[in-house]
Amino acid sequence: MSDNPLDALDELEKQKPRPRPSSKGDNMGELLQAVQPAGDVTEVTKRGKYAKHGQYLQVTFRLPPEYMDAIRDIAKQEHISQASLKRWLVGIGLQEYRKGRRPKVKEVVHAAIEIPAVEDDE
Amino acid sequence: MTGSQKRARVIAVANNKGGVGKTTTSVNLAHGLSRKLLDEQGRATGHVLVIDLDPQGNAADALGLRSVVYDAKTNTDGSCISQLFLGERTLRQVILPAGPDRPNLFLVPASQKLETATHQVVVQAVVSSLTGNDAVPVDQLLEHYFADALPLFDFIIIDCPPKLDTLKKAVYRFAEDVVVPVQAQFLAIRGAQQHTDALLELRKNNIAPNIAMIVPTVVDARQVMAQKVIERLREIYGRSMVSAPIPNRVDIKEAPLSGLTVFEYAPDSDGAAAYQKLVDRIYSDVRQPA
Repeated sequence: MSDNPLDALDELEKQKPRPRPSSKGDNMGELLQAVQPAGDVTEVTKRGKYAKHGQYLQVTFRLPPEYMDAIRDIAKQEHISQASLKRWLVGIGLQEYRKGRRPKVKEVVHAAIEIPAVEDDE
Repeated sequence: MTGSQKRARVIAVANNKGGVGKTTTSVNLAHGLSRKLLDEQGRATGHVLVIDLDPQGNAADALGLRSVVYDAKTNTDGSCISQLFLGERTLRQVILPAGPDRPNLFLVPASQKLETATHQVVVQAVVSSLTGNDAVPVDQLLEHYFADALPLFDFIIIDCPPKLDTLKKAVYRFAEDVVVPVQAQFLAIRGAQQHTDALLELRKNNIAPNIAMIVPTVVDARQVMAQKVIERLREIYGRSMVSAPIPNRVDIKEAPLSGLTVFEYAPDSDGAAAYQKLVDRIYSDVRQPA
């Protein structure tokens, strides 16, 4: 391994297509235009078990910490609100579902303890 | 890659605790290994690559290469590993030679941009799973982007940040060996144990880095505590797994200020001698490429 590795990489990469610059994101702009900023929402009502703020329902669910970190950083980079970005990400997911994409579901088996019947004392 | 191709020995220098000497150890170890791969005429018989995964980017400072590293305000043309992960540049474009005096040492530097890039990669992986586009999973980032480097280098040293988190699996899938610098303080022992216990846990999931060496750093030989700490490390890990201690020396701390390794800044110092022992141990103990 004594040849200059940079020369070897030059040769290797000449044979590969150059990477395309990353795009800003698929139709992010169009979807964001359809999503009103939360600041425009004023009226709070109720729909079933959810509170409804204008056109949106208030929903709470859990995300991995790295997802939240990524959302925060991307929102800052794109100069958009985190809430808008989350709505867009969910919207993208729904679009894909309608195109036929399905989540991988695995069965989870829960162990259950068989509780013995207690005999009455006579 | 065929079975007959040579493959770099990939060593991660890692500890969850900050300030223990990871970058100092990474840079001095890498430079020391590269010096062993020079013949009597100073020609390279092998090459060493340093991959900096710490957004602070101190490896570039320690090698005097700050001026060619990406900075959002002062040097947008500079290199950063984040450009590789985001597909903005190729591996060849982000690798920096470490200077004419280090003909077989190279660096892929990091900058603050790495933090954002890592998060973007996570999101891209999620979106790609929905859109069907190809995106490299975070766990495979290093394997994927440095695959071409493996047959070209003899050693690849990964300078890890204290908070490895998102890139943890990527590092330990790519690295075969882990060197763990540990400060010679009692409180540091527990942190080191937690770190190595976590590594052993990874082995259960078939991500199996080998704990190659525990390196006691910042050791003040005058202090009885330091000796006790070293003895305790030997009890925990075995004598052969604990390297000769790296002394607490001004030369080691000052060298990065000049953009030099300890071998260049103070070649006759105790610090240089201690790091040379570590280099010799790693070079001989760690399985070398065929």
